[in-house]
Amino acid sequence: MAGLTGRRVVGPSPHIKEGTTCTSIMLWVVAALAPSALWAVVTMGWVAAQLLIVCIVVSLATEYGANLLARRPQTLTDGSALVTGLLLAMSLPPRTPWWVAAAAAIIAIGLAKQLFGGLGHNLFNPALVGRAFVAVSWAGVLAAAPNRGWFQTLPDVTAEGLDTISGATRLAVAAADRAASGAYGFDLAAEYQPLLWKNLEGSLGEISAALLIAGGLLLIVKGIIDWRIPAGYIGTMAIVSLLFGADPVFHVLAGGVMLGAFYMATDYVSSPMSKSGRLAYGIGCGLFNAVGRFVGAMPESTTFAILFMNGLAPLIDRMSRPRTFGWVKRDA
Amino acid sequence: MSTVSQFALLFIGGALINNILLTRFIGLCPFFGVSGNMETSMGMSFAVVFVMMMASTATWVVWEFVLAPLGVGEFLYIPAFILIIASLVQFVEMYLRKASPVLYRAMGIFLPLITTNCAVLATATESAKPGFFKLNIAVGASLSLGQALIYTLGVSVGFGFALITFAALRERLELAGVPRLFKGTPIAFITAGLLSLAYVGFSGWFGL
Repeated sequence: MAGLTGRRVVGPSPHIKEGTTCTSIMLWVVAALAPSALWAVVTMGWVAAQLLIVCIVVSLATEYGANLLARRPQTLTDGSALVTGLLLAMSLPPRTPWWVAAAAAIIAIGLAKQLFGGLGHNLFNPALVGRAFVAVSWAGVLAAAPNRGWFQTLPDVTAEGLDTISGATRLAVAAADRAASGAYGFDLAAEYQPLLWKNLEGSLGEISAALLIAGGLLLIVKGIIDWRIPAGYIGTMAIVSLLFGADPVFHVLAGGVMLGAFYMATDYVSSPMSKSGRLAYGIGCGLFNAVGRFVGAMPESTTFAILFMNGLAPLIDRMSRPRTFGWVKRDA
Repeated sequence: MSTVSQFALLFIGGALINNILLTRFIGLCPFFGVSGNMETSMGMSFAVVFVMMMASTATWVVWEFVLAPLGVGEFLYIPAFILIIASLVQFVEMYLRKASPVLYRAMGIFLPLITTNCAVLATATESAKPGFFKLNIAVGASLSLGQALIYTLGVSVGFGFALITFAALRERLELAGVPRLFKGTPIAFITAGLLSLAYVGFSGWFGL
């Protein structure tokens, strides 16, 4: 579907066949995410690798099992389950207990994708549904993740000479500071460098904003994702943060914005089809994400903001439907 | 708190944060009943806004000037409110059919469907009866008529918004290759659950 985003003129035959397939698009997404995932494994250690393995293996297995149950042709080779598993792992904190990660992957593929009819029919982004499901079901377990599960028995990443792994992310600290005194207790500008290059707080996908941006730009240049969604998303994030009197650069770099804007919100199936609709959708994601951060109970709301806009996508499509040439509306 | 920001909170709190369909799960019968079609859900949405506003006004007036002064409100409010809402809506329907055929065609057929709907009764009761309004907004002992109307408008707009969103989602489901076991209402229930999951993101906004 990547070709659909670019300018395309369909003439009479003969046609030249383009090599773009579903699999190639999915593999490009994996390639764009791979540096971040590898960097997470290098810096966070084996815990990150385990989370990646659990999410990807369970996603693939669920896809296989669901197709088997529904007596449908196997779809493992289209790479979509691999992307879902990878995205899901990137959206979870590294010390998520393995069974929580597995449950998220089963929900993502089994409920959010296969029950709706498989690739191309999921109304909501499967990885985000999986993440939201476990975030709501096991909020306490996830909050206490550093002290739980079999990851704990493994060599601690701090033993490798890294800084400590703290429980609260910068956004949580920022939210607590705002609630306590209305001002920030730490220097936001000093966080730019860690957030860009090596951030050990939060989810796997928060490891390095720079790597995610580089991968996202690659996908935009390749014509795989539409620039309107991340541009609308990140731009709105920055503007709304400014309106709330907060540092826009910090709020764009921190949390799940980069992962959400470039990789989650741009899912073909759950985002609108028209160009203007995509811009509106991106702006909506940014708006609800930013406002949720400042007035909400949770320090971050990327997941729910994108899920909410996924729900609105069919409505946006209806409203931004292009007019048919040669027809005029009949007077009522 | 200024009046404007209080009204804004009443509206957003009723529409998004405590969405009557997707957060409180009240009034689900029309949510599943008419959402299979875009046009009927739009008609239903307008009808709900209309009926809820009328119902809240009527019950507020009746509580304030009849039930409360007589001291019978505590045990009579449910039958009284149901009777008032149902008869009022039936009269309005008859009047609409006579006076405005266009408006009647747009939403008239939905009026009898929602006269005894639980969402309408719940909103009217919250607006009229002291102690039933649960949003964390300092409104004193009970809502004033203006506050009640803004809150009702928020709830009904939130109802319509959720219903139309859901209808657009279900429209797309028509063409999806849903397994035969889950076709129709089962997948609609799952979709509603996922939509409700998205609304979890609004919980705790503004401390509501």
